[in-house]
Amino acid sequence: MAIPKERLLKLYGLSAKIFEQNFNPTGVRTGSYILSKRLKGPAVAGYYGNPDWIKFKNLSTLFPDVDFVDPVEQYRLNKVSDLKHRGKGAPKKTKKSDATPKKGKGKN
Amino acid sequence: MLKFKIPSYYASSYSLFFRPLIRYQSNLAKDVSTGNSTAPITTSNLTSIASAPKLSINSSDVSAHEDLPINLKALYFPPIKLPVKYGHLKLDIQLRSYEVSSLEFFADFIQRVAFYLGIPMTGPKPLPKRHETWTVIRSPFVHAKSKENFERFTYKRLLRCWDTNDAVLELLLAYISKYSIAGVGVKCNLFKKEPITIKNWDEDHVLEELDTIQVNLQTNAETGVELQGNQSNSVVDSKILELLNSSKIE
Amino acid sequence: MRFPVKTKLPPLFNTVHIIRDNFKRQQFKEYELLTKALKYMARNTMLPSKTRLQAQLKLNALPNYTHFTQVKNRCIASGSSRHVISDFRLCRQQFRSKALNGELPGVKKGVW
Repeated sequence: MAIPKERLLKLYGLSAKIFEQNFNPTGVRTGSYILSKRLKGPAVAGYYGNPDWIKFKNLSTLFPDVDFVDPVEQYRLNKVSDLKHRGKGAPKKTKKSDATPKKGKGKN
Repeated sequence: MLKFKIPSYYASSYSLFFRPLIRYQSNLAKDVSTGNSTAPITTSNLTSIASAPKLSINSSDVSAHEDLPINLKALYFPPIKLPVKYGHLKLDIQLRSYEVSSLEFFADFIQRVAFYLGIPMTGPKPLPKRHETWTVIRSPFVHAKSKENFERFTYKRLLRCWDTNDAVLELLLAYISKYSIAGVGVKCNLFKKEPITIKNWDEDHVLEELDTIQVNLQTNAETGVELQGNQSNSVVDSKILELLNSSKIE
Repeated sequence: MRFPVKTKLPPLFNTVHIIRDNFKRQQFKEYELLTKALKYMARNTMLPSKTRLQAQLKLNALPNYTHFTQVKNRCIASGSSRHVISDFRLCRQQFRSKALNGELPGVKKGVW
C-alpha cells in the first residue's frame, strides 16, 4: 500500500469535520446515541389534553357581563326544584348520633 | 318533559365532516348535497354513499351552456396540465384522507389552481393506501370468543410542482390553505437549492489541517481520538455543559 | 390530591388514576433534559470516571415519578388502563361504542 494508514485516517477525520459527520475509527463508547434521539417530553405530557381548556365555569370569569346558561345544568336544577315543589325532593341527612350501630364485628 | 341533548366532549376534537359541503359536479343544474352520516358505515355500503360524479362531459351539457365564460366552461373538463420543461422539483404536496371523494375533489381543485398560476404540476399519484385494523372484544366483561373488527383506510395522493419561483409557490400554498377541505390533510415539502458553503473549510490550508489532526490508533479510553460529531441536540448539550461546569467537576 | 409539585388537572374526564398518571407525565417532561444529560455523562467513556460515577449516582437518586417506565397509557374517556388503543387513547369498550356511533373519523366496521 502506497498510502500510510495514519494519513488516510487523518483524511477521513478532516472530511468528517467538513461534512459534520461522526468520526470514531476505534469505536470508543461515547454517549452520542443518547444525544441523537429526539425529546418526547411534550408529547408524553400532552396525553390528556390542554389543562387550560375553557369550560363552562370559566365563561363567567371571562365574560362577567354576559349571563350564560348551561342547558344540561339548567335542566337538572329545574328537575330538582320541581321535585322539591311536589315534596319528592332528597331526604334530609341523618346525624352520626342517630345512626344505628353496626352489625357484626366491631370495636365494642 | 324537557329534553336536552348532552353534547359529546369529543365532538370538537373529532370534527365530523365526512364529505365536503360543495362537491365537484358535472351538471350545474343538479344539486348534490350531503350531510353527516349518523348510521354506522360498513365497507359494503360505502361505495353507494360516496359515488363521485363523473368528470367526463356530455354533448347535451355543452350545448346547454354554450354562452358561459371560458373559465366556467373549463370546469366541465378535467384540469389542464402545463408541461414540465426543466425538471426542477420544487414542491411536493401529499394529500391524505379517510375517504377518496373529498381527496380527489381537493386534488382536482389544486390542479386547477396550479394551471391558473402557471405551475407545471404532475397529477395526483395515488400512493399505497394505509389499512389499519382493530379487533375488540364486544362484551365489557368476559366472552373473549366474540369479537368485532374495525378498520380505517387512509388514502393518499401526491402532487408535484416543478420549475416555479418561490413566491408563486407561496401563493399556491396560501390559496390552498385558505380554501382547504375538512377531512383532507395536506403535507408539503418545499425544495430549495443553495450554493455549497462548507463549515470549517479553509481551502488554502487544507494540507496543513491534515497534519494537525491527531489520530491515536490505541483503543485506550483515556487517549481519546479527536472525534468529529454531527449536529446534535443543542438543548441537551447546553444542559450537559451546565452540569459539568457546576459542582460536579472535581 | 397532594403531590410534591402542584399540577393542573386534565381538562376532560378525571379519575384518581388519571390524575396520578398525569402528574407523572408532567414530572417526566420536567426532568427529561436532566435525565438525558446525566445518562450521557454516565455513558461517555471519554469523561473522567469520577464525573461518570457522580452522574450515575445522581441519576439513581432521581424520584420515581420522573421515570418514563412509571407512565401508563390510560383511556381518556373512562380512565381504565386495560386494553387502551393508543391511536385513539380509548379503552376497548369506549372505542367500540364511539366507533359504532360514528364519532371516530374514518373508522368503520370491518366486514369482509
